[in-house]
Amino acid sequence: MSSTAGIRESLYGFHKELNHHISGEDEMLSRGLRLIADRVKAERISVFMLAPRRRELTLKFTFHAGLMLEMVEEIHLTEGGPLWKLVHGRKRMQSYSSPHAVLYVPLRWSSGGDEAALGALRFERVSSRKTFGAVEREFAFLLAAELAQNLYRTRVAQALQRQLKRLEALTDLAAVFASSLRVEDGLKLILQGIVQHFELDRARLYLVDREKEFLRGELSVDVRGKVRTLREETVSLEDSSHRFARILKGDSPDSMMKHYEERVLHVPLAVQGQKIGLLIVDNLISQETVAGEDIGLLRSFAGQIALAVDNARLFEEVQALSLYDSLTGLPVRRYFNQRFQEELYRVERSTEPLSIAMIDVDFFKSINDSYGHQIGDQALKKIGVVINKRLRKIDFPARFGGDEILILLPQSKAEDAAKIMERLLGDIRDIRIPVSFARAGEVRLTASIGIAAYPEDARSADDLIARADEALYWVKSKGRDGIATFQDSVRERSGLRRKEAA
Amino acid sequence: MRELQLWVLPNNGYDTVPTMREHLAPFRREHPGLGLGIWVRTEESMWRHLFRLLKNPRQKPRPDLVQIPSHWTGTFARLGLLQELGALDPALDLSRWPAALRDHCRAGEGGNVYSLPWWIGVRVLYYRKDALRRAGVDPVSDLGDWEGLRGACRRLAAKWKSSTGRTHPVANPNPRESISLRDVAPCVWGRGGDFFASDGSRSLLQREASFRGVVDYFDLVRNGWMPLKGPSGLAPRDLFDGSAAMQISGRLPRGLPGRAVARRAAERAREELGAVPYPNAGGRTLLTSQNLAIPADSQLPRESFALLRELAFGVSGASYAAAIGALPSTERGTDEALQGYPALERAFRNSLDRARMLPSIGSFGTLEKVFDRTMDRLVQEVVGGRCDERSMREELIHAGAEIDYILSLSGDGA
Repeated sequence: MSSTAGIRESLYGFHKELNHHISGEDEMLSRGLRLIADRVKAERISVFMLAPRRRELTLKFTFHAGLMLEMVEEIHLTEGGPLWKLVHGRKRMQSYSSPHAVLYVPLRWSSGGDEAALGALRFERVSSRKTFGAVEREFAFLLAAELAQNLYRTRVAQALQRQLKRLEALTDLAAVFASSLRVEDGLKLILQGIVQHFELDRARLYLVDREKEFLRGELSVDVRGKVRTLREETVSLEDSSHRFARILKGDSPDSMMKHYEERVLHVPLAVQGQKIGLLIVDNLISQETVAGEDIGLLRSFAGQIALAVDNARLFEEVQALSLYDSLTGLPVRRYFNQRFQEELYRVERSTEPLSIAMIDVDFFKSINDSYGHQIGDQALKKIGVVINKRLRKIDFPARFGGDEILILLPQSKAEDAAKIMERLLGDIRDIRIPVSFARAGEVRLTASIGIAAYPEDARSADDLIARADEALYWVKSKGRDGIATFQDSVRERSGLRRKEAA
Repeated sequence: MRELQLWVLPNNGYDTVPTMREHLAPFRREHPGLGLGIWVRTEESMWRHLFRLLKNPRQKPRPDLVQIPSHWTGTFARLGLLQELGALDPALDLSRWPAALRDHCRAGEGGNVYSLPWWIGVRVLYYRKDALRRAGVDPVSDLGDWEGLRGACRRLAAKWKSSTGRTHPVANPNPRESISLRDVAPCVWGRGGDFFASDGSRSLLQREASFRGVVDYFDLVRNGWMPLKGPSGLAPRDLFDGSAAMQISGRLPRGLPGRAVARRAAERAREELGAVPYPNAGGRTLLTSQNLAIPADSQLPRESFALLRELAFGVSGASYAAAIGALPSTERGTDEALQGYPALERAFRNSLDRARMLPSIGSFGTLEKVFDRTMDRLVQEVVGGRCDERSMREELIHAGAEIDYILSLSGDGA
C-alpha cells in the first residue's frame, strides 16, 4: 500500500465492509481484525480494550495464522508513559523494534468536540525485524480510527437495545402486580423477573415490620430462579453497626463495601418518604459488575415495587380494620378518601401523573327494580371481582356508594387510565348473571366511565372527583356503555360553543 | 453434519488450536460424521461465558465440552450447569486418578462426578545452570527456602546482568502479567498460613502467616527481580526462551520443534535446565488440574463424553499433554511422562509428594476471583511505586471481609 489513492480506496472498502449488519461488539472487532489483516502485513494483530479504572489495556482478540484467538495479556499503563500517551490521544503511534517489530495505534472515538479512549491495536512482526514503515504506520492509524468509530457506534446501539429489552421486561413485571393478589406470590414473580431480565446472580427482599423496629427477610431468588425464604433473618433498625440498617437510614455504607459495590446494589424501598424495605441485587458469585444503566432502571422500578408492596400490606391492614366493603371486596369510601389524599400529597412533590376513574353501572336501578336486589348485589359482586383482577397492583379502587365505583390510578395520565378502563369495560361486558325469569335467561352488564387527571383537570380531591363525575355524565348523555375523559367532554362543549358563536 | 463445540483455555498459546486439531485427528477419524468446533477462551472469558449460559438460556453458541480449572467444578455443578457424568457412564471409575484429583471431580452431597481431569501441573522452581553458575549460586544448597531464593536473586541481579546483558533473575509465570492466588499459594502455605478455614466457613487472609506469604511473593516484584512487563508492552521473555535465570512453573519443557536448527538450539537450552522443589519450608507446592466437563444442556452428550474420555485417559490426551508440556492427569500417565525428563524427574516427583490442591469448596471459583482482584490492585500499586506492607495488609483485610460476606451468603462453606 503505497499510493494515497490506494490507501483511500482500501480505507473505503474497509469502511463499507465493516458497516454490514453486525450483531455485537465481539463480532465487529473480530470482523474488523480480519479485514485489517488483509490490508496490513503483520503476523499478529491484537485488539486491546481500555479498562480505565484499572488503568490497563486488556487483550480482547488476537488474529494469528488465520485464527481469531482469545489470549491472556494485560498492559499496565503508567501515567505519562508512551502507551498512556497513545491511548489518551497525546501520541499518534508507538513503535518498537525489539524484541521484534511492534506497532501500537490508538482506538479513539471522536465526534464534534467529544472524544473517548477505547483501547489500542497492536501489530507485530514476530519472525522478522522489518519495522513498520511510515506509510504502513499511517495506514494502520487510519484503519484503527475507522474501527474505533464503528466500535463506539456498536456499543451505543447495543446499550440502547439492552435498555429497550430491560424496559420491556419491566413492563412485563409491572403486569405481574396486576395478576397476583397475594403479596408473596407477587414478590416471588417480581424477584424472579428481576434476576432473569437483568441477568443477575441473586435478588433479595427485606421489609420493615409494621412497628418499624425491624427489617425482616422475605425472599431470595438465585440465578436459577430458585426461591428461598429469608424469614429467619431479622435486623434491628436501631443497630447502626448493621449495613442494612445504615443504608436504610441513609448513612454512608461501611468502608468494607467499597471493593464490591459494583457487584451489589442496595435499593431502599420508600413510599411517601417512609422506608418500607430493602431490595438487594447482586452478582457476587459471577463477580460481574452490575451495569450502570441497569442501576437506574432498577432504582426506578423499586419505586413501583414499594408502592405495590405498600398497597398489598395496606390491603391486609384494611381487611383487618373492616375497611372493605363486604359485598364487592373493594375498599370503602372513607378509606379511599384517605388514600386519595396521600396520593395527592405524593404527586404534588413529584412530576408523576395521577388519574381517577368513576364507574357507574348502566341501568342498575332497572336491574334492581326488574330482577330484585339479590341480582343487583350479584352484579356488584361480579364487578368487584373483575376490578380486583384487572387492575394493576398500584391502582386503588373503592365502592363510593350505591353502584358507583372510584378508582385511583397512580403513575397514569388520562389516556393511560382510559386504556386500563377499556380493558376493564371489556371484562364488565363479559359478565353474565343467570336469571331464569329474564327473557334472555341472563342479565348482561355495561358501565359508563368518566376519567379526570391531575393536575390538568383539577388539583384537589373533591374537584377531581367532580370532573370525573362530569365526564361520566357526558358518557351517559351519549348513550352509556363507554369511556370519556374530562377533556373529551370539554372539547365537545367548546365545539358546541364555537358552533353557536358561528 | 453435527458439530461438537469444544471450549478450551489457551493451553498452548498461539498454537492452541493447531495443537488440538493435530492431537484430535484420531478421534475425528473414528467419528467421521461429527464436526468439531474449537473455541479458545481465556479463563476470564470462560468464566463469564459459562455464567452467560446460565443466565440466558438462549445464549449462542453453546458448548458441548468445556475445559475448566478443577476447582470450578463445585461452583458450576452447584449452579446446575454441568452434566452428571455418572448418568452417561454408570461404570465410571475414578481409580486411575490420585485421590486429590478425584475430590475435585465431585460435587454435592451425593458426591456425583461432574468433571474429569485432563492434565495437571505441579509447581517447581526451574533454573538455568549456566546463569546460576555465573552468579555463584548452588541450586541444591541455596534454593532450599525462600530466603535462599532471595539471596540468589540478589546475586543474579548484580552479576548476571553485567556479564550477559540479560536483565531478570526470575520470570513471571503468570500469563496475565499479574500475580494470582495460584502464584502465591505455596508461599502462603510455606509460611504456615492459608486462605480459608478447613471447614471453608471463613477467610484466613487476615492472619499474619498468610500475609507474610503474600509479602514473600510480592518481594520478587517489588525488588525488581521479577518484572511484569517489558517497555514495549510485551511480556519479558522467560526462562524457556533463555532470557531469565529462574522461573516457577508447573509445566515441563514443551515438545522439541521439528526444524533442525531450532531443535538443536532447544536441545542445548534444555540441557541447561534444572529444577528444584518449590523453595519454601517443607517444599509445599501447588498441584493444579485442568478438567473437562459437559454442560447439562449439551445436544451431543454421548459424543462429548466419548471425546472427554479420549482426552482424559486416552492416547490423544497423553500425547496432547506432552505437546503442551503438561503432565497427563492419570497416575500412570504422569509416571510415564516424567521418565522422559531424567534431569527434572526428581524435583517433580518430590513436589508431587508434597503438593496440595486448592480447596474443593463450592464457591472457590468466586473466592479466587475476589483474591485475584486484590492481587491486581496490589500489582498496580507496585507498578506505580506506591505499594508498602501497610497497603498490602489493608487490601488483604478488605478481601477477607468480602470473602467472608460471600461465604455467609452462599451458606455452603464445605
